Amino acid sequence: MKRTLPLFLAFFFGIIGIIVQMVPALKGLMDTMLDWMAIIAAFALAVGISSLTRHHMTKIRRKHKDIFFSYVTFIAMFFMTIIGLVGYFRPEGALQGLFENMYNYVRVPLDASMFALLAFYITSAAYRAFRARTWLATVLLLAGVIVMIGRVAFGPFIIFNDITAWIMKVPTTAAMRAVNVGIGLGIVATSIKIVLGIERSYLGGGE
Amino acid sequence: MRTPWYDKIMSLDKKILYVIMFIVVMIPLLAKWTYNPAVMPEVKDIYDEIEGIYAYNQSHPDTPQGILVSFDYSPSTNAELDPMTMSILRHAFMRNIPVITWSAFPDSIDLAKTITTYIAKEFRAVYGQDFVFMGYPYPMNAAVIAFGSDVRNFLVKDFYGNLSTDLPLLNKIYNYKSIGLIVTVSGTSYPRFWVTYANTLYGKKIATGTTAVSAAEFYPFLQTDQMIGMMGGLRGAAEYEKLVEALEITIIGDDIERYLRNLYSPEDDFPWDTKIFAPGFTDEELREHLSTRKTARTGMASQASSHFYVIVLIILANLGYFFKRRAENKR
Repeated sequence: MKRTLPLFLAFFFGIIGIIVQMVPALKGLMDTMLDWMAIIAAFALAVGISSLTRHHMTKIRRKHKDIFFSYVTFIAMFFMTIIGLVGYFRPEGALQGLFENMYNYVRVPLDASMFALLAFYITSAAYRAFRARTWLATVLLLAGVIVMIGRVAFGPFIIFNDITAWIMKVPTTAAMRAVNVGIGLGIVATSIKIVLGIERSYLGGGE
Repeated sequence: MRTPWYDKIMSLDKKILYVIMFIVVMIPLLAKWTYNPAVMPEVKDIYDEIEGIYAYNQSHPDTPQGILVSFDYSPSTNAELDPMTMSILRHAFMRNIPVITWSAFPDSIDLAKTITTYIAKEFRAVYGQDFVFMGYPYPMNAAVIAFGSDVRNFLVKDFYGNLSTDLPLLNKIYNYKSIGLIVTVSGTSYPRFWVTYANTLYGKKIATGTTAVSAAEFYPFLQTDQMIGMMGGLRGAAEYEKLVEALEITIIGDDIERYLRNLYSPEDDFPWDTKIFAPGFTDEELREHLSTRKTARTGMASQASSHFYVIVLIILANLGYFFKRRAENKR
């Protein structure tokens, strides 16, 4: 039953999901399904929080070497949740301001810093790995250099602007189209396998 | 035995490379250099589409078209993407186009709310009438599909807890029929998702703003007209910023500081809701609002210098590699 019911639900709602998109008269049913989707997705959030909590509780209990980060996770998660919830219901209070400050002056700079580090990694990677070892590598290197100049072209370099546009619109588009077709076919195949119960890994556990 | 020059070059300490990169990035920012980009067709197309919505609204004042701006990015990519959302919103508010915004991620709710109200304030836009912020529609795909019939059934309340049916804007614009353009600004594959649902199912026009690294992914959609335009990376943002600046000069004039300073007065009858934004600008806020009008172009100067630095490094490293290989072959 534990496996049959989810398989039946996946089959039933998978087929219904396709039908409601094709039959305009079933628009009402589609709206109902969307409401249910929101309710079920809310449970996923609860499952996520409980799973994260259990994972870090286990680490703390076993005195894992990275126990410090588990404490940081707990403090950050509960602190932000509490001040966020209280702040939402009492927007005139200090906690709402604290929540916004924590977001604007802790979360945003931390996230942006992580991304900004890419500039340094790319510098190092370009210096150490971008070598004209073979003719294919040389083509890649030349294309990379042209696009890098083209993206910031000015004055005498403006010709690179047009070359970059061509590289992006012709060879890059051709390659990306092939990737997209592959992805599309993969999505269709996986969806059909899930609806028909052939793909069961989403049920979790082993056979 | 002396170490050959090419070996020295090839084994340069990465700390030195990092320090030079830091300097190269910082100098244009501190010197406030700006970059004047040539506007690419894919960016101009977005601008023209919004101008088209404005023209339509002028001739159909009772059934206006709005735009939906989806903040599909988290703070990690805000340096590249914030200037795009700011410019798009400036353009829409300047043209009195109804704006609906929301955030695709829980961690970008504050970011989306802040930017929406920040720009709305510059044009005295009234919450509920000129713009609404719907918060974080969860799950996102359900919200996108719900917009096909009536989004008010799915998003019963806006971010501030108002009933959707109480908001005048949402009583006019509640499904895709009255949405002229969807702008998805994203650092991920989210624009692909908008193409799948909003464009393929409902034929909606999609424009995207994306990080430079993701831009290549979306060119095929431009070619097939599944997307009407794209702002790629900080460069795309700089191009849009330039177009909006020209429009702003035409409509408002070139003294933006004076315009902002005189925008609110204590005795005017603007329907204040301090929960959304407080009227008026302090001197510091004024400076900030003026500087955000060229964030992307200032950033591009920095990006240009860093690109040229990386190119110099690539040339150096390849010269070292070439001469080393030649020396090894001679031996």
